Amino acid sequence: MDALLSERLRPVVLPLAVAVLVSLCGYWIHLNLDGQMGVARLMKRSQEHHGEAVVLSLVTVGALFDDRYEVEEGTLTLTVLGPTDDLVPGREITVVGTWDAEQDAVVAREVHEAHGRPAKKRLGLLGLALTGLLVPAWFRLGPDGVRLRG
Amino acid sequence: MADLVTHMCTALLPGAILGGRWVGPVLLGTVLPDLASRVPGLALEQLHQRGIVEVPDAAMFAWGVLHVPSGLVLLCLISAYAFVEEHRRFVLGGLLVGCVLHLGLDVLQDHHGQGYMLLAPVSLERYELGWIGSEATVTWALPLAAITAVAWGIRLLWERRRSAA
Repeated sequence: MDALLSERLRPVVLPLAVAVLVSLCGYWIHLNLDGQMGVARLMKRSQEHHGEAVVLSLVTVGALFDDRYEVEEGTLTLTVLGPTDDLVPGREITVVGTWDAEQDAVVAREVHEAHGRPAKKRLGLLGLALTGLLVPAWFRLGPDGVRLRG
Repeated sequence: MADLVTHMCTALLPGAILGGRWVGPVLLGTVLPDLASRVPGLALEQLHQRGIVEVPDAAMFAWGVLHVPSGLVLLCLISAYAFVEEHRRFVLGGLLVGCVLHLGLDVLQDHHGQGYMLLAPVSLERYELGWIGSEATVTWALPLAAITAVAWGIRLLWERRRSAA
Protein backbone atom coordinates (compact mmCIF):
# COMPACT_ATOMS: atom_id res chain seq x y z
CA MET A 1 0.00 0.00 0.00
CA ASP A 2 2.84 2.38 0.82
CA ALA A 3 4.31 1.71 -2.63
CA LEU A 4 0.96 2.46 -4.27
CA LEU A 5 0.79 5.80 -2.44
CA SER A 6 4.44 6.71 -2.92
CA GLU A 7 5.71 9.75 -4.81
CA ARG A 8 7.54 7.35 -7.10
CA LEU A 9 4.32 5.78 -8.38
CA ARG A 10 2.16 8.88 -8.08
CA PRO A 11 2.67 9.92 -11.77
CA VAL A 12 1.17 6.56 -12.75
CA VAL A 13 -1.37 5.74 -10.05
CA LEU A 14 -3.01 9.15 -9.69
CA PRO A 15 -3.81 9.72 -13.40
CA LEU A 16 -4.94 6.09 -13.65
CA ALA A 17 -7.27 6.48 -10.68
CA VAL A 18 -8.69 9.70 -12.12
CA ALA A 19 -9.15 8.06 -15.51
CA VAL A 20 -10.98 5.08 -14.01
CA LEU A 21 -13.21 7.37 -11.94
CA VAL A 22 -14.03 9.55 -14.95
CA SER A 23 -14.81 6.38 -16.91
CA LEU A 24 -17.13 5.23 -14.13
CA CYS A 25 -18.89 8.60 -14.24
CA GLY A 26 -19.21 8.22 -17.99
CA TYR A 27 -20.63 4.73 -17.56
CA TRP A 28 -23.13 6.07 -15.03
CA ILE A 29 -24.21 8.76 -17.49
CA HIS A 30 -24.59 6.10 -20.20
CA LEU A 31 -26.73 3.88 -17.95
CA ASN A 32 -29.08 6.77 -17.29
CA LEU A 33 -29.23 8.15 -20.84
CA ASP A 34 -29.70 4.64 -22.22
CA GLY A 35 -32.62 4.07 -19.85
CA GLN A 36 -31.02 1.24 -17.88
CA MET A 37 -31.37 2.94 -14.51
CA GLY A 38 -33.02 5.85 -12.80
CA VAL A 39 -36.21 7.63 -13.61
CA ALA A 40 -34.97 8.12 -17.18
CA ARG A 41 -35.47 4.41 -17.88
CA LEU A 42 -39.24 4.89 -17.76
CA MET A 43 -39.08 7.56 -20.42
CA LYS A 44 -36.42 5.99 -22.63
CA ARG A 45 -37.73 2.43 -22.54
CA SER A 46 -41.36 3.06 -21.82
CA GLN A 47 -42.92 -0.11 -23.29
CA GLU A 48 -40.29 -2.35 -21.71
CA HIS A 49 -41.31 -1.20 -18.24
CA HIS A 50 -45.08 -1.23 -18.77
CA GLY A 51 -46.80 -2.66 -15.70
CA GLU A 52 -43.61 -2.57 -13.63
CA ALA A 53 -43.69 -1.55 -9.99
CA VAL A 54 -42.01 1.80 -9.63
CA VAL A 55 -40.76 3.93 -6.75
CA LEU A 56 -40.10 7.61 -7.47
CA SER A 57 -37.99 8.45 -4.46
CA LEU A 58 -37.89 12.03 -3.19
CA VAL A 59 -39.15 13.76 -6.29
CA THR A 60 -40.37 17.34 -6.25
CA VAL A 61 -44.04 18.08 -6.87
CA GLY A 62 -44.46 20.30 -9.94
CA ALA A 63 -47.64 21.32 -11.73
CA LEU A 64 -50.97 20.05 -10.39
CA PHE A 65 -53.98 19.12 -12.52
CA ASP A 66 -57.37 17.54 -11.74
CA ASP A 67 -56.39 13.92 -11.63
CA ARG A 68 -52.71 14.03 -12.32
CA TYR A 69 -49.59 15.94 -11.43
CA GLU A 70 -46.02 16.33 -12.51
CA VAL A 71 -42.97 15.46 -10.48
CA GLU A 72 -39.42 16.52 -11.11
CA GLU A 73 -36.15 14.76 -10.49
CA GLY A 74 -33.13 16.70 -11.59
CA THR A 75 -33.88 17.87 -15.11
CA LEU A 76 -36.55 15.22 -15.74
CA THR A 77 -40.30 15.64 -15.40
CA LEU A 78 -42.73 12.72 -15.06
CA THR A 79 -46.50 12.57 -14.95
CA VAL A 80 -48.18 10.79 -12.05
CA LEU A 81 -51.84 9.78 -12.13
CA GLY A 82 -53.51 10.16 -8.79
CA PRO A 83 -55.30 12.52 -6.39
CA THR A 84 -53.72 15.92 -5.90
CA ASP A 85 -55.65 17.14 -2.86
CA ASP A 86 -52.82 16.95 -0.37
CA LEU A 87 -50.02 17.90 -2.72
CA VAL A 88 -48.15 21.19 -2.66
CA PRO A 89 -45.84 22.25 -5.50
CA GLY A 90 -42.21 22.36 -4.39
CA ARG A 91 -42.61 19.71 -1.69
CA GLU A 92 -40.71 16.43 -1.91
CA ILE A 93 -42.61 13.17 -2.00
CA THR A 94 -42.01 9.49 -2.66
CA VAL A 95 -44.47 7.88 -5.05
CA VAL A 96 -45.02 4.11 -5.10
CA GLY A 97 -46.98 2.89 -8.09
CA THR A 98 -46.96 1.24 -11.48
CA TRP A 99 -45.63 2.49 -14.80
CA ASP A 100 -48.27 2.78 -17.49
CA ALA A 101 -46.59 3.04 -20.87
CA GLU A 102 -49.92 3.69 -22.64
CA GLN A 103 -50.46 6.85 -20.64
CA ASP A 104 -46.76 7.62 -20.25
CA ALA A 105 -47.29 8.06 -16.54
CA VAL A 106 -46.92 6.44 -13.15
CA VAL A 107 -50.20 5.29 -11.64
CA ALA A 108 -49.74 6.14 -7.98
CA ARG A 109 -50.68 3.61 -5.33
CA GLU A 110 -49.03 5.32 -2.34
CA VAL A 111 -47.65 8.80 -1.82
CA HIS A 112 -45.40 9.59 1.11
CA GLU A 113 -44.54 13.19 1.81
CA ALA A 114 -41.00 13.70 3.02
CA HIS A 115 -41.85 15.98 5.93
CA GLY A 116 -38.33 16.04 7.25
CA ARG A 117 -36.68 17.11 3.98
CA PRO A 118 -36.53 20.86 4.60
CA ALA A 119 -34.97 20.25 8.02
CA LYS A 120 -32.61 17.69 6.47
CA LYS A 121 -31.45 20.24 3.92
CA ARG A 122 -30.80 22.79 6.68
CA LEU A 123 -28.84 20.15 8.57
CA GLY A 124 -26.88 19.54 5.38
CA LEU A 125 -25.92 23.21 5.19
CA LEU A 126 -25.02 23.18 8.89
CA GLY A 127 -22.93 20.06 8.31
CA LEU A 128 -21.06 21.71 5.46
CA ALA A 129 -20.35 24.78 7.59
CA LEU A 130 -19.17 22.64 10.51
CA THR A 131 -16.94 20.60 8.23
CA GLY A 132 -15.28 23.79 7.01
CA LEU A 133 -14.78 24.96 10.59
CA LEU A 134 -13.52 21.65 11.97
CA VAL A 135 -11.17 20.54 9.20
CA PRO A 136 -8.33 22.91 10.28
CA ALA A 137 -8.37 21.21 13.70
CA TRP A 138 -6.89 18.07 12.17
CA PHE A 139 -5.23 19.22 8.98
CA ARG A 140 -2.86 21.98 7.94
CA LEU A 141 -1.62 22.98 4.54
CA GLY A 142 2.12 22.75 4.11
CA PRO A 143 4.40 23.61 1.19
CA ASP A 144 4.53 19.94 0.18
CA GLY A 145 0.89 19.04 0.71
CA VAL A 146 -1.72 18.67 3.42
CA ARG A 147 -0.46 17.37 6.75
CA LEU A 148 -2.13 15.85 9.75
CA ARG A 149 -1.69 17.88 12.90
CA GLY A 150 -0.10 16.31 15.97
CA MET B 1 -29.77 9.09 3.26
CA ALA B 2 -29.14 10.35 6.74
CA ASP B 3 -28.46 14.04 7.41
CA LEU B 4 -24.92 15.33 7.31
CA VAL B 5 -24.73 16.30 10.99
CA THR B 6 -25.59 12.75 12.08
CA HIS B 7 -23.02 11.37 9.65
CA MET B 8 -20.37 13.64 11.18
CA CYS B 9 -21.30 12.54 14.70
CA THR B 10 -20.57 8.91 13.81
CA ALA B 11 -16.92 9.98 13.66
CA LEU B 12 -16.87 12.85 16.14
CA LEU B 13 -18.57 11.13 19.08
CA PRO B 14 -16.24 8.10 19.15
CA GLY B 15 -13.45 10.58 18.47
CA ALA B 16 -14.24 12.50 21.64
CA ILE B 17 -14.02 9.28 23.65
CA LEU B 18 -11.00 7.69 22.00
CA GLY B 19 -9.07 10.73 20.72
CA GLY B 20 -6.35 10.44 18.10
CA ARG B 21 -5.32 11.81 14.74
CA TRP B 22 -7.63 9.36 12.94
CA VAL B 23 -10.67 11.52 13.78
CA GLY B 24 -9.97 14.08 11.05
CA PRO B 25 -9.66 11.62 8.15
CA VAL B 26 -12.62 9.55 9.34
CA LEU B 27 -14.69 12.74 9.73
CA LEU B 28 -13.86 13.73 6.16
CA GLY B 29 -14.76 10.22 5.04
CA THR B 30 -18.19 10.47 6.66
CA VAL B 31 -19.06 13.61 4.68
CA LEU B 32 -17.29 12.71 1.42
CA PRO B 33 -20.07 10.62 -0.21
CA ASP B 34 -22.68 13.36 0.11
CA LEU B 35 -20.20 16.17 -0.52
CA ALA B 36 -19.10 14.58 -3.77
CA SER B 37 -22.38 13.18 -5.05
CA ARG B 38 -25.24 15.30 -3.67
CA VAL B 39 -23.83 18.82 -3.48
CA PRO B 40 -22.90 19.19 -7.18
CA GLY B 41 -26.14 17.52 -8.30
CA LEU B 42 -28.28 19.71 -6.03
CA ALA B 43 -26.46 22.85 -7.10
CA LEU B 44 -26.96 22.05 -10.79
CA GLU B 45 -30.59 21.13 -10.15
CA GLN B 46 -31.21 24.50 -8.50
CA LEU B 47 -29.53 26.35 -11.36
CA HIS B 48 -31.67 24.42 -13.85
CA GLN B 49 -34.97 24.76 -11.99
CA ARG B 50 -34.49 28.51 -11.49
CA GLY B 51 -33.77 28.92 -15.19
CA ILE B 52 -30.29 30.31 -14.58
CA VAL B 53 -28.52 27.64 -16.62
CA GLU B 54 -29.76 24.99 -19.01
CA VAL B 55 -28.17 21.89 -17.49
CA PRO B 56 -27.84 18.90 -19.82
CA ASP B 57 -29.11 15.59 -18.44
CA ALA B 58 -25.63 14.08 -18.60
CA ALA B 59 -24.32 16.68 -16.15
CA MET B 60 -26.95 15.60 -13.62
CA PHE B 61 -26.30 11.87 -13.90
CA ALA B 62 -22.52 11.79 -13.47
CA TRP B 63 -22.41 12.24 -9.69
CA GLY B 64 -24.33 9.15 -8.56
CA VAL B 65 -21.24 6.96 -8.87
CA LEU B 66 -19.57 8.99 -6.13
CA HIS B 67 -22.01 7.53 -3.61
CA VAL B 68 -21.26 3.86 -4.36
CA PRO B 69 -18.28 1.92 -2.92
CA SER B 70 -16.34 1.58 -6.19
CA GLY B 71 -16.46 5.31 -6.87
CA LEU B 72 -15.71 6.17 -3.25
CA VAL B 73 -12.62 3.94 -3.10
CA LEU B 74 -11.21 5.77 -6.12
CA LEU B 75 -12.19 9.16 -4.72
CA CYS B 76 -10.50 8.35 -1.39
CA LEU B 77 -7.36 7.19 -3.20
CA ILE B 78 -7.25 10.38 -5.27
CA SER B 79 -7.90 12.50 -2.16
CA ALA B 80 -5.08 10.77 -0.24
CA TYR B 81 -2.61 12.10 -2.79
CA ALA B 82 -3.32 15.64 -1.59
CA PHE B 83 -1.48 14.68 1.61
CA VAL B 84 2.24 14.38 2.20
CA GLU B 85 3.58 10.93 1.44
CA GLU B 86 4.13 9.82 5.04
CA HIS B 87 0.48 10.52 5.94
CA ARG B 88 -1.20 9.06 2.86
CA ARG B 89 -1.78 5.51 4.04
CA PHE B 90 -3.20 6.70 7.36
CA VAL B 91 -5.45 9.23 5.66
CA LEU B 92 -6.65 6.74 3.05
CA GLY B 93 -7.54 4.28 5.80
CA GLY B 94 -9.42 6.98 7.70
CA LEU B 95 -11.31 8.17 4.62
CA LEU B 96 -12.36 4.61 3.78
CA VAL B 97 -13.55 3.97 7.35
CA GLY B 98 -15.54 7.20 7.21
CA CYS B 99 -17.16 6.16 3.93
CA VAL B 100 -18.08 2.77 5.41
CA LEU B 101 -19.69 4.53 8.39
CA HIS B 102 -21.60 6.78 5.97
CA LEU B 103 -22.91 3.97 3.80
CA GLY B 104 -23.61 1.82 6.86
CA LEU B 105 -25.90 4.50 8.25
CA ASP B 106 -27.59 5.11 4.89
CA VAL B 107 -28.33 1.42 4.38
CA LEU B 108 -30.23 1.30 7.69
CA GLN B 109 -32.94 3.47 6.17
CA ASP B 110 -36.21 2.63 4.42
CA HIS B 111 -36.38 4.06 0.92
CA HIS B 112 -39.32 1.93 -0.20
CA GLY B 113 -37.05 -0.44 -2.05
CA GLN B 114 -34.89 2.26 -3.64
CA GLY B 115 -31.81 1.51 -1.58
CA TYR B 116 -28.16 1.78 -2.48
CA MET B 117 -26.24 0.09 -5.30
CA LEU B 118 -23.45 -1.29 -3.16
CA LEU B 119 -22.03 -3.52 -5.89
CA ALA B 120 -22.14 -1.08 -8.81
CA PRO B 121 -20.97 -1.19 -11.56
CA VAL B 122 -20.89 -5.00 -11.33
CA SER B 123 -24.53 -5.13 -10.24
CA LEU B 124 -27.24 -2.48 -10.13
CA GLU B 125 -29.17 -4.26 -7.37
CA ARG B 126 -30.29 -1.92 -4.62
CA TYR B 127 -29.82 -2.76 -0.95
CA GLU B 128 -31.40 -1.35 2.18
CA LEU B 129 -32.21 -2.72 5.63
CA GLY B 130 -35.24 -0.47 6.11
CA TRP B 131 -34.83 -0.32 9.90
CA ILE B 132 -35.42 3.42 10.20
CA GLY B 133 -37.31 6.00 8.15
CA SER B 134 -35.42 8.06 5.59
CA GLU B 135 -35.87 11.19 7.70
CA ALA B 136 -35.51 9.49 11.09
CA THR B 137 -32.09 10.97 11.83
CA VAL B 138 -33.42 14.52 11.52
CA THR B 139 -35.09 14.19 14.93
CA TRP B 140 -31.98 13.16 16.76
CA ALA B 141 -29.35 15.13 14.79
CA LEU B 142 -29.24 18.22 16.97
CA PRO B 143 -29.39 16.38 20.33
CA LEU B 144 -26.65 14.08 19.05
CA ALA B 145 -24.60 17.09 17.98
CA ALA B 146 -25.07 18.63 21.41
CA ILE B 147 -23.92 15.44 23.15
CA THR B 148 -20.95 15.29 20.80
CA ALA B 149 -20.06 18.93 21.54
CA VAL B 150 -20.25 18.28 25.30
CA ALA B 151 -18.09 15.17 24.91
CA TRP B 152 -15.47 17.19 23.05
CA GLY B 153 -15.66 19.91 25.67
CA ILE B 154 -14.89 17.35 28.37
CA ARG B 155 -12.09 15.86 26.30
CA LEU B 156 -10.43 19.21 25.59
CA LEU B 157 -10.69 20.18 29.26
CA TRP B 158 -9.16 16.88 30.31
CA GLU B 159 -6.32 17.24 27.81
CA ARG B 160 -5.59 20.78 28.96
CA ARG B 161 -5.41 19.68 32.62
CA ARG B 162 -3.24 16.71 31.70
CA SER B 163 -0.78 18.88 29.81
CA ALA B 164 -0.74 21.45 32.66
CA ALA B 165 0.02 18.75 35.26
